[in-house]
Amino acid sequence: MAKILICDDELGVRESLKLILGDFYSLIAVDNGEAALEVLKNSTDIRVVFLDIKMPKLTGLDILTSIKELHPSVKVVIISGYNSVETAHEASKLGADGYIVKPFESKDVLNVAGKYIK
Amino acid sequence: MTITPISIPNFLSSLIVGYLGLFVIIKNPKSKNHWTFFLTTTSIFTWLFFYSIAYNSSTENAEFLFRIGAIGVTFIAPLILIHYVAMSESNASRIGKLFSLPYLISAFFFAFFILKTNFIINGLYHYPWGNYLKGQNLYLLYVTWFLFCTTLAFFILLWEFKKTPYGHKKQRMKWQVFAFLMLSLSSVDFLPKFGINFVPFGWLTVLLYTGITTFAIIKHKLLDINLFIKRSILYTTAISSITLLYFIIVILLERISQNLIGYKSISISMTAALTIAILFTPIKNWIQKLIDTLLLAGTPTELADQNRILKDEAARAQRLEAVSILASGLAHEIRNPLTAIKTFAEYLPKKKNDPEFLNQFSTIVSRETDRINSLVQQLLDFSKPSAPALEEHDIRKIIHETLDLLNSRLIQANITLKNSIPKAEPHLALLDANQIRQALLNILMNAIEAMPKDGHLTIDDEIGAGNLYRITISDTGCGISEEDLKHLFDPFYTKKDGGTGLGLSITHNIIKEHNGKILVASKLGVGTTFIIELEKSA
Repeated sequence: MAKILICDDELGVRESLKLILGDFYSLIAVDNGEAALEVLKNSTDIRVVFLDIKMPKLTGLDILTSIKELHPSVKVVIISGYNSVETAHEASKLGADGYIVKPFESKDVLNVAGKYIK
Repeated sequence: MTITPISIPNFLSSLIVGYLGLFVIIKNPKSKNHWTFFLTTTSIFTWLFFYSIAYNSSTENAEFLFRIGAIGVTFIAPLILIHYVAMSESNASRIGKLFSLPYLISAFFFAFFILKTNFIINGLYHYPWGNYLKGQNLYLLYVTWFLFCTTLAFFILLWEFKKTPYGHKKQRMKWQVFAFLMLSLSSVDFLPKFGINFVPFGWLTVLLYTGITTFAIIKHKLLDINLFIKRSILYTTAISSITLLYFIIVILLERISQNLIGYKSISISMTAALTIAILFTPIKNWIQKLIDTLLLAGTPTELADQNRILKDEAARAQRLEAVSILASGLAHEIRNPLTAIKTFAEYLPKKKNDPEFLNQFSTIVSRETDRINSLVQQLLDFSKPSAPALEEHDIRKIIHETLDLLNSRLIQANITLKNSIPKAEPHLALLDANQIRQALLNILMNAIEAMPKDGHLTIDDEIGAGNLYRITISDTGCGISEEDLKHLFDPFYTKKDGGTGLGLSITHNIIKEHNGKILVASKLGVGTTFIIELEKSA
């Protein structure tokens, strides 16, 4: 089963994504960016990262840049509480493969995961 | 010999530009910005100064002096580019940085070619208004090189201007753009080197450029640009007339000296020109004042109005910024719990028979609802802090009580507390005990969180003049950066894990409601000090 990495400092959001994706994919969830990079370093079977944009210390956009640099084949879907064009634009410029706005629809989450993991 | 008229404005301009450059660098020798501008003005000074002497020299000497001036011109291009790159905070500066060094190096090459060879310039044109350098085969390449560099510099400036949010800084940038446009007019000075008879007026446009840029660098609050243009047209007319007058006086003096001594001397002429130039400053100031009061009727009021309008605009922009920070902070804080509630509600029908899910559902949904509720409460507290219920309390006792609440946290983080506030000597003040406790708690909690291990927390008080009560709370924590310090009391501005960014803004509001003052000083890696001043309320 292909792996998805969830990175969000909010327990509620992590639990929600687990609820939506848990029946179809194998999941790893972490609550900060450093941990996400650590997980990616150690496991090669992660295909998609769901990444929160606003986290303390390293922000989602910082992590996005690092992921795209170190693991270019991994797809990154940004989850954001801000529904703003600028943030979405900034994320796509940095190489984000998807952008989901909180509170998200479960079908959108499943769609974007399904797009990258056939 | 006689003085060529065109040399006079060039000479005066060179002195003013040189002076402004020195003024800027003396104001702040540590700023990179000020240095790059100073170097630019030095190049402009070299250009104008040596040209002004060259205009008055014999043909053999003139060419050499013009060449030195032309070296000054050459360095203007890379220095302006470097100046804008240093000033820029946006991505555009990356391209600029890429070009800066090659441009600076090639400027040295061009300087060498100008001084030592005849490929770029050689010989002089003799125009009715004076001599001027003759451009040679490589001159067109040189001009292209120069214009490309300055155009690049201009794009960096424009990009920075576009990126700057509305406010004082944008106003300042608007001036810089205007100044640059003025400067770009001076490229007309290249024409006479191609044999086109055109009186060079670069001395005027660089003067405007230097003046405005100096103003933009030094002054933070600027007048509206329209008023400036109106004033500068009037001033320029007036100053041109005085320059003409000045010119006539210099010529007359020359004649007189010729009659007295019997010959004309360049040193006497120059000394006379300088002396009068110094004397002219008060006259010029006086004329400016006269224009302000006579021609721009009611100008002092108009200026005051302009300043007020600008101030109001800046305040409004700041308020809007605060609202937008508030809104985006709120969006994030509320959308997180909403996400969880929404998802769990959606899966409830499907998983209603899964006991593990139901257990999780009740924990998460009730916890997230509580979070939204407490957020709303904090927001209400923030937006409408209830007027403090003032009663006479012993503030020293309140401080001790608040510290007692934090005792276990202090032990946990191994923080040494040095509390110099005497418990036995009450200091009575009119205040809302609960609110002050809250305000102190927020500051103390932040101090503790800034010192994860082995810090020192120092608390002291003093009673100042007029019964002003001052509490000082210092920690040896991680400190606050200059940028964060500016936003410290902004709602939802936080750098803490799980912080809402409301604590200190609530503290700020409480102290304000008590007609008090809160001050903060901090240094990264050293610590932070908060000072609260409470007046003995009426």
